[in-house]
Amino acid sequence: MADTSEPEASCIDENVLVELAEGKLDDTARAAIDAHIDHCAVCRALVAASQPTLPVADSMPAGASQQPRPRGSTLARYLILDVVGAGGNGIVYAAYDPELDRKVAVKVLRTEGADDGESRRSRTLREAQAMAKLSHENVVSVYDVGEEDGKVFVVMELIDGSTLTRYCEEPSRSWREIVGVFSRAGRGLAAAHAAGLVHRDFKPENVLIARDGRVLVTDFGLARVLDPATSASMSAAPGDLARALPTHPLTRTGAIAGTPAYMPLEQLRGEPLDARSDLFSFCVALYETLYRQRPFAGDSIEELAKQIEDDRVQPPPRASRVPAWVHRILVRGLSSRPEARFSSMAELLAALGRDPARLRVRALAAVGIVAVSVSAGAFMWRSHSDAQLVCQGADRALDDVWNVPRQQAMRIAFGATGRPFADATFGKVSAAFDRYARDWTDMRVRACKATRVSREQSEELMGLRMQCLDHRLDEMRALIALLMTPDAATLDEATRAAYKLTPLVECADAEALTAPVRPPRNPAVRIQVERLRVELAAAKALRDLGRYREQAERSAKLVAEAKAIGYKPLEADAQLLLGKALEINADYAHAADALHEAVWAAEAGRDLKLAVRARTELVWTVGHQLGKPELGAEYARDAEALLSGLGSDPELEAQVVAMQSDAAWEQGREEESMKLAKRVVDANRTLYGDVHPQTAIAMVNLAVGYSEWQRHADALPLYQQALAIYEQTLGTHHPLYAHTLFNVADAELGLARYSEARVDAERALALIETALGPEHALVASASAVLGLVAQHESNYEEAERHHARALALAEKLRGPRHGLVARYAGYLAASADAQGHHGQALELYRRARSIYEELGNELLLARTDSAIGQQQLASGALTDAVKTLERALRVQEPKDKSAPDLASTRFALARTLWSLPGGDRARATSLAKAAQAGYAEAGPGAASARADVAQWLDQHEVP
Amino acid sequence: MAERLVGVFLERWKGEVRDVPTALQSGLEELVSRGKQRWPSVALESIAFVRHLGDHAPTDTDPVTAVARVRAEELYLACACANGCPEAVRICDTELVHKLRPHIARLRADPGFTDEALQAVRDRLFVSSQAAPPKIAQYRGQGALDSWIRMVGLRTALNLIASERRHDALDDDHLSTMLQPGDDPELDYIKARYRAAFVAAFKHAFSQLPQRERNMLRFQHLDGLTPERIGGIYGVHRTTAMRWIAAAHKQMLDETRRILMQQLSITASECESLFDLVQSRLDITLRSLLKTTHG
Repeated sequence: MADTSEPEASCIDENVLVELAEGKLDDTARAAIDAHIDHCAVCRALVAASQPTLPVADSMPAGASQQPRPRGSTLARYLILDVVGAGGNGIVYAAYDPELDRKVAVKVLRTEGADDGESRRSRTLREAQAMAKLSHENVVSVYDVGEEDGKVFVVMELIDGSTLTRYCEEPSRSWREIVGVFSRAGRGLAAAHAAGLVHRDFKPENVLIARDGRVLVTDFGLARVLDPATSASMSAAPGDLARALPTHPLTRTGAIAGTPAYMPLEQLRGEPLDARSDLFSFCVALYETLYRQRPFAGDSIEELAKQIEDDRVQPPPRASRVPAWVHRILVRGLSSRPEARFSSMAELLAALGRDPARLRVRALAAVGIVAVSVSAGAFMWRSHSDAQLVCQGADRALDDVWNVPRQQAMRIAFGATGRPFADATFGKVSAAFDRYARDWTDMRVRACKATRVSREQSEELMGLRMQCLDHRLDEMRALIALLMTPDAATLDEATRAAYKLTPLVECADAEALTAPVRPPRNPAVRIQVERLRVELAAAKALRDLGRYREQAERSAKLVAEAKAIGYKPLEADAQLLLGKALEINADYAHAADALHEAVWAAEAGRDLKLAVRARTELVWTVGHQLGKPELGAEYARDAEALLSGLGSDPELEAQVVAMQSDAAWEQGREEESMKLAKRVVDANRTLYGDVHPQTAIAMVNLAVGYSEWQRHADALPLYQQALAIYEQTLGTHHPLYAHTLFNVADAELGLARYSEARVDAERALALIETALGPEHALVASASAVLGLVAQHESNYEEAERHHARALALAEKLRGPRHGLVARYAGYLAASADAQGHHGQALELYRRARSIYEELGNELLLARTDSAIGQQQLASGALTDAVKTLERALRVQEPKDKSAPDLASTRFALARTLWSLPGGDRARATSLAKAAQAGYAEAGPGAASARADVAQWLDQHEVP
Repeated sequence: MAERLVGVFLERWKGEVRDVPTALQSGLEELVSRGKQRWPSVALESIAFVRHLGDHAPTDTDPVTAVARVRAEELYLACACANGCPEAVRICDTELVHKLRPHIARLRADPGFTDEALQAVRDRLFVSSQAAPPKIAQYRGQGALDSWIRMVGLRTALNLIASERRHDALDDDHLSTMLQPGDDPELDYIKARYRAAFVAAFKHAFSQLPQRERNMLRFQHLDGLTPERIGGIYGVHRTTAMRWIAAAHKQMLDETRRILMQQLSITASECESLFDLVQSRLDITLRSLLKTTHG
């Protein structure tokens, strides 16, 4: 008999150990225990064992089945390998499936006792079969369900990774990362709900993070299978005894002991559950992870239930960096009444995805990830000098595409065009290709090593990354082929085309690559698809060279071929290209059709990123070009919602923000639009660098906003910087250069630098007509600028001619009810007015007015009213004029950021009130003074107007 | 009857009594009736139970509160066991002692040992030795009875193991397993040469840690507790525990490095290269043992 005598007197009393486990001790008592166990191993082991759930022992089923199955034994056709885990509801084994030659996870469910065995087993089987029908990227796949010796087992995908609990233990996780991972798990829940399944036991332990980054929810519906009768089953509950106790200890301070901590009220009470119950559990888990405390206080089930019932969610800790809006969402999700929560997981996830700062930060985060993987690659290089040989030879494929003989041939071909800057252009192009080639090789080696050397990446993912890189290489090959036989126009676009090669970052994005867009199974189709992809890359290169018409033709042909082989992702790609080509060719209605087709094909082919891209194009094409801002806003919302469901893609995100900025402006939310536009500039600087066409485009978009606000001094430097970037990267013959040149002219006009404005506008118009033809939309814009210059120089006939051309072109290209038609009509009215054609002017203004009214653009409507009022004043219809002008001023005073526009309304009203019999002359004077101040603020462009007001005030001031 | 219960209680209870509140009578009666109701087959004199209650109720408050804080049903059962009621012992044995089997089996996977240990636990719990009352009489009715029995059971089993083996399985020496020979001959040579110094430095560094950090590291890789459970012991969230452990880990490695430099009389750069050589394996071993990452 061994010695089991009384422990040393100083050893910790068992009563104290139990109280420690139940969290009842204060810091002093804890410190005393700490001091003792520092030298008493037995007591330390007891403290360790006192914690409620022991990983394996507690989960052992009772009776004969408590022994884990030995390695090498079989269960149905599965060969048991190792125990990989044990939870409250059974033991999980790694097993081998000889039939399909793969490793699987087999979970043998704990079904207690034989008392109600039959009905429970059949229910278990039914539930598990339902699980097997569910297929979703965020749900662990169930392959098979079976029964042997009265034991139900579920065969699942074997996930190599850890649980969400472990993942979130990492103290450095940011709240965004946490929300991101939870959102992906939430999508798994949403998919299950859509299939009519309720999880019933959602908690971090039931979410797995695979090594390849996937997030998967497991153990659907098992809670009910295992515990159909009672509501709150504690993993540490010692049988009947615990149920009889008045208050059972739920948990220790600040930690989670068992499942009830995640249960909604209805589950604690044993009432029926639905999807909203899972939603509650989801919010508890997310709350706990974000704030590192439980959402509801209470140490027993009763107390917990009381706190939930009273909706007493704990406030976040003071030091928390999680934004308040997240807390608000969680509070709603944690409502005691299911109907007060979000109606579905989808709604909750949409709310969580609406982070105002999300887009930019995610873009930056993704850049960070790339940087990390670079340094990991570098480390591998040092420590596995032999193994890395496996991954050499990546540059061989590239060598066929971009090599010294080719470079020399290209330089000669460039020179043969006879263009003066051919050599300089070659220098830029070849630098761009060099960089791309270096990145490409680097990424290919890295992708290889991640699988072959460090083994942190699956073979499958490596295959996908290689395939992605091959597509990029096709694209580069196609562009180089085009540049080998350049004509003068091609040469002018060559640099931009080289810069526009699709960024390689995409190929590093495991999530995007594992998205369910897969190459077709049929090898014959696959060969055709590969061929068409190469052609598509070539067509894309045409766009980058500015050869839009040719591109539209070729992409239309590709659409037809892709349809013929019936491979949706490719068709979507071709439709998107066609849509963009038609848009640039100003065939907006057909462009919109193609883009819609692209959206549908992309969704059918499950290429969601492409679906987002096509929608961002629709926002512009339909919202702006076709003049339907409401529809545009709808596409913007769709794209945003879709994007939040996708993995991080900084480039696409920046594109979506740019699109939101456009949509916001079209709907009159100008401040918001400007904020977004600024964000795009920052994001593109980070993504592409300071000197890159994409950065220039973002700068121009921002500057256009300033122009609209008549803040020309802010706009001009941005245009000029963008112009310099274009000149450096694309050359002066590119349409984008011409476009920005006319923006410069517009700003110069606003700053009263008329002669400069005229020179630049004329040059812009000539460039546009050459590059895009005389019928292009940009011709209208450039004409309008020239018209405005002429107007200011008092060349009214010339002004009328330019404006008439702009108006006619806009009507033809965009239809009669477009916002730009209204704008040009307004310009034309002004020049008609200046020549004394008041009737014609009034008619044109009224036409503009009705378009703005239809579009719901209050501010432009008010400005037009102001112009109409001034016509009425001139014709002596004073009563009408007062009405019209007051209406305009009511909108303009709070909203109009353009000082001269506001001033002109004020001054017109001042004059009307002065002349009106019984008019308020004191108000007239003060309005005129306000107008004078407004013109002064507007700068030199408004100098003559200010002088007019000053003169009027001299003559009319109330004594 | 009621007044008799109060008298019996106060005779044993060592708390401070200013005046006898009337609620105490009903409180005691309620406890007795709860015990009887829960265990109708258990025979126990009310007087005996209340006397036991007087011995164990907390003394840091007034008698009514003290009584109300007791887990009546469980203390009743324990008291009946201590008084030698065969039915109570049977219930305790089947409901609670029996459930210790997997916990003990976890200490040593030998069914024979488990049986032996369980028998020792029963002896210890229910049999009085040398005129001292059986161990179960010490249960105070504050925490859950099943947890208390698990503590007694595990201590008994651990003492059994300790008495069989001179070598203590839970000794800190196991910390040095992270420096056991591996399959890399070059590393093995270095480690063979410097092993003693490494182990000494490591142990010294470990001893330099604050008490709490030392215990946390032991919990983590000697007892295999997760940060969540360690957090539970210290009343902090698992992420806090995680942070403490990571800091302790770093401090230990830094200190090891410092001591090595001093003892081997090598320069910082020599120490770095030595450490670099061992670092990869050290980190891998640490990672698997400490289940945490270390930069």
